[in-house]
Amino acid sequence: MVLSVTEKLYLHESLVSNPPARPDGRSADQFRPIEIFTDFLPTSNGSSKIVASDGTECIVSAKCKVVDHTLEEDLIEVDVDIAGHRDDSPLVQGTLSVLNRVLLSQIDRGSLRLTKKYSFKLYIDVLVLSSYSHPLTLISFAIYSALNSTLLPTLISSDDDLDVAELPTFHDYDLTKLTIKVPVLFTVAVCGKNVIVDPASSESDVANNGILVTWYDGKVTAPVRTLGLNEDYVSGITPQSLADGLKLIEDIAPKVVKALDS
Amino acid sequence: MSRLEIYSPEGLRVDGRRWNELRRLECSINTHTSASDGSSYLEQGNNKIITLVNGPQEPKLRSQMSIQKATISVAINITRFSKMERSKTSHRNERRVLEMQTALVRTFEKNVQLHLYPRTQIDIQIHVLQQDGGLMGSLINGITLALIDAGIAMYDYISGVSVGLYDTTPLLDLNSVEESSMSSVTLGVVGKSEKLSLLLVEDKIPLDRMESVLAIGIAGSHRIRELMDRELRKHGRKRLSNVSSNN
Amino acid sequence: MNISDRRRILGPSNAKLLTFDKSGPVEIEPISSSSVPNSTSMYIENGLICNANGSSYLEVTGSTSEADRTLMLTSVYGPRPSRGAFNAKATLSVQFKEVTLEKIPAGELKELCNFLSNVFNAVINLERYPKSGIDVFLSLIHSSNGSQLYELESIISTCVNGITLALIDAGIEIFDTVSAGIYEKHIVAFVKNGTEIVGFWKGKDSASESEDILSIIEQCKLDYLKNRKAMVEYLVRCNDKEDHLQHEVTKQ
Repeated sequence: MVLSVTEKLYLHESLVSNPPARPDGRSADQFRPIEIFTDFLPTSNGSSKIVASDGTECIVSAKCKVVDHTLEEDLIEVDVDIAGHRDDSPLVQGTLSVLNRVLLSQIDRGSLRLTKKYSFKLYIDVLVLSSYSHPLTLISFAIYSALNSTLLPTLISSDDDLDVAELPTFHDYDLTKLTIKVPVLFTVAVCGKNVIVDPASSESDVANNGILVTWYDGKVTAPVRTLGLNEDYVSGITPQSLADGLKLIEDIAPKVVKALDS
Repeated sequence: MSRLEIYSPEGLRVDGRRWNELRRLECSINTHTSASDGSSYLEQGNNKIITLVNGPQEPKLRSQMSIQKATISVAINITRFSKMERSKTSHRNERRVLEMQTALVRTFEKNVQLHLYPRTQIDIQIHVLQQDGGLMGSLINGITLALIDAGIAMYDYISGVSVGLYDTTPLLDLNSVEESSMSSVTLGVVGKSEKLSLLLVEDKIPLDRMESVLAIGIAGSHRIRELMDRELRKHGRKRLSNVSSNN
Repeated sequence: MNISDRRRILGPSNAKLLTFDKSGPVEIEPISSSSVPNSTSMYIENGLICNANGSSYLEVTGSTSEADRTLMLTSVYGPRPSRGAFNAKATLSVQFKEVTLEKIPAGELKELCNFLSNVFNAVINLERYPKSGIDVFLSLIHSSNGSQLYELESIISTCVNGITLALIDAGIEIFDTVSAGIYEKHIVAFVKNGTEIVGFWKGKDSASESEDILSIIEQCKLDYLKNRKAMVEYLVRCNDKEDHLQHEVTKQ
């Protein structure tokens, strides 16, 4: 929805006030309700669909393939497709690059190790059907739940195949659950002195700046950076706001991860 | 690997169906209310398809506008993970996909009452989450449902199904294993009539067998129309009861 | 003899020869001496590219060894009229190119450009230039960092400083001189004497994991103040020299 200049000004004023008055009545550290469905694609090893209350919808599929890890450098490959955006648009390219880097740098290669020679390679395909606010948080939630519901074939051949040239063989129907820690990304909007989590599209339009925060293994990790949410209201933020934003994530991230796990 | 028995002497196919049986068909409409004006989710066998219709709306480009009638555009997004094996390339600008889009636009141009919506555009967006043969037929069914959900005036339902010819036996509603081992045609049938709005023949079919192929195809399409109609009426009743209970 | 040579047009007989300004490029010594440990030195040169509205050339030598160098050429075109729909304010575009070896992945460059345009969206007075576009082109001439193939951190801070200098050279209105400071893989772009942050980038995990974010920012601020001082000093010196030249010209 396109807001007029006056509407934006009103919204900005209310978000800057103390405490912030958000248009949907949420408190600063409150998320919008989301629904997550997993395991609905039988041809994928793991799948998830996430729907936010504003209609933002994201589908993630995780497929695996056996590769020789001495030849293959990256064991995770992410592909992002956002409906209504070209593949070479800054949003798609930026999202893709962040996700690829975060997952490759944070996820332990050892957890995908199969034998001494072979590993699973994960292909994570993201399809965003509709997005109204910055989709990165929802995408990362969807990837989190997809990877946590991913089932991989169980290995029945020996895992020492350096001397014997043998291809890994798998059990006919038994599957093993993939156990890896997956990073989660959060977007925080800064409005004046206030920091609000999970900004809706109208809130993003009037935010002074955004912060992207990565949460992995119980702590804030790289990348952390400022993120442009709009072009009209963008301005500098105080160091205190940045610290507040990180603090906010440190407070709520454990709860979010717990909710995603249940 | 032993060769699969496509059609056993007892008259059973690989997935246990008879020659004239359809696959499981489940559909729902109004699934993506905020993303589109009309939407549908269709499962036909292992095909899983999301269809979103936006419009009638103002065209983005003046050049796409027609003064007499609405224009239809179809965009098919076949996801990389839709098949068993993940495809390395995106199917966005593949020739096959472009041809399917044109065929679908032509099919629905004749069936939607475009003259009611001059100077507008109707955008149809399809996401194929999973495919297992007979894709074109499923796309037609998905679009019909989504257009109805969007409240766009049409003359009648169009229901689609694929029919293959195994030796001399026509087989209804092929899955991907069957599709790759025999020649097939795809039909789009208008409502309860025997009128075809689409006939897609990409392989060789003996002319003298064509009639039996078409006959079972039309019967199958009528059955699909019935299934979709039942679902739509159920949905309609539910919404009506919601409205009346609110009053 | 060449046939085209005979057809040479010599121009009217009363034509005057072009005279060029005698002033050479303004030279400046590296600001900070290398004797101070753990400090970077910067060489600045503005206005090298004639057909751009503004440009800057930056040579940053790293803190640890002489071999760590980042050479960056920034050019700014605009504000120039933009086609299409009416815009109440200027649109900024930032493009990054590696001139010599292409080492940085394309996706990372897109992220970098997004980040930089966000930083400068906040500081350029875009309302001042309606219906126009400002295009910034960054050319990375050289970047080396011992063991690593490239060091994104020093490239980003050089980009921020380079763009600021080029914008000043182009005479485009900015609210304040932006400059970036680095500390342990954290890059912070400051304005307003370090009280406001316009950009924060932490790309990799660093050793200072347990350190408080505010103290990290404080460390970056020290680096920022140093960089800004160097930039402002250069600009003031350029200005003085120009004034001086102007003065000489008027005396003649």
